[in-house]
Amino acid sequence: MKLANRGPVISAGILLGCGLGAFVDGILLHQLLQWHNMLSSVHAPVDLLSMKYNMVWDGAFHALAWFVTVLGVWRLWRAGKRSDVSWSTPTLVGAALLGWGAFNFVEGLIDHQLLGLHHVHPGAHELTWDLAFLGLGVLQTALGGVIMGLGSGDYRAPHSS
Amino acid sequence: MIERQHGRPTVSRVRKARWDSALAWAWTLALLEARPAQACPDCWVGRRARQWVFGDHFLHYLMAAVLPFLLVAALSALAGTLGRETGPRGDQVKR
Repeated sequence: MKLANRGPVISAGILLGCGLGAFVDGILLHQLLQWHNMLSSVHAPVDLLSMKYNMVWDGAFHALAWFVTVLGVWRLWRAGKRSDVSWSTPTLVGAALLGWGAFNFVEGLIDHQLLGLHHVHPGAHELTWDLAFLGLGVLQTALGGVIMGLGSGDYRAPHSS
Repeated sequence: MIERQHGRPTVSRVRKARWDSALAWAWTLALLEARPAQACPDCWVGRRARQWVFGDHFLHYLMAAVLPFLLVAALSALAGTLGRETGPRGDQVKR
């Protein structure tokens, strides 16, 4: 038995975490709680037209999340066909959490802080919410790294058939 | 109303009736096209919102939406490459 290659599963896990994490953002914060929309700090959704404007951009965001998720599934499918790849649960779960955290951090940095397209919870304490979101991203990334480490010693015997 | 002469409609009256009918149909269509807000208010607002999206710094906002996904995808590709370098060699047998 040899030390397995974890790269393909990590790669797939990061993509899956990113896509599914973006869906959590879109479904929970955009739709269910309605805290913000994609461009709600540029054109606040205060009437039907501006609401539909933001709805179109939310649709674009969800389309990108769908595309990245499909890419992750495809990567995982390809990894599953390889004999040298570690089929390790901690590796996949950790990579997914890392991908989710990395997405939250990068998205928070670009869309919230740099461009100001929207804020997590607009209002009196929007900066606190934005910073907490960035902190959550860092925490998820670190925790994902730790969980991934649990699967670092995984072995996998090459398939005989 | 088509007038009849000896039980049969005159040609000119028939033509006029057809013309009137076509004109009414064209008017109805034109009114539907010219007043979409009344025909389907929700479709009309949606159409205006999409026009607004495409006319309002579309590429700039699209890049802003795509960039976070792109950066994480690049991280994923990097992770795949690193794994390939550190993994075992010579046993990549297909199932």
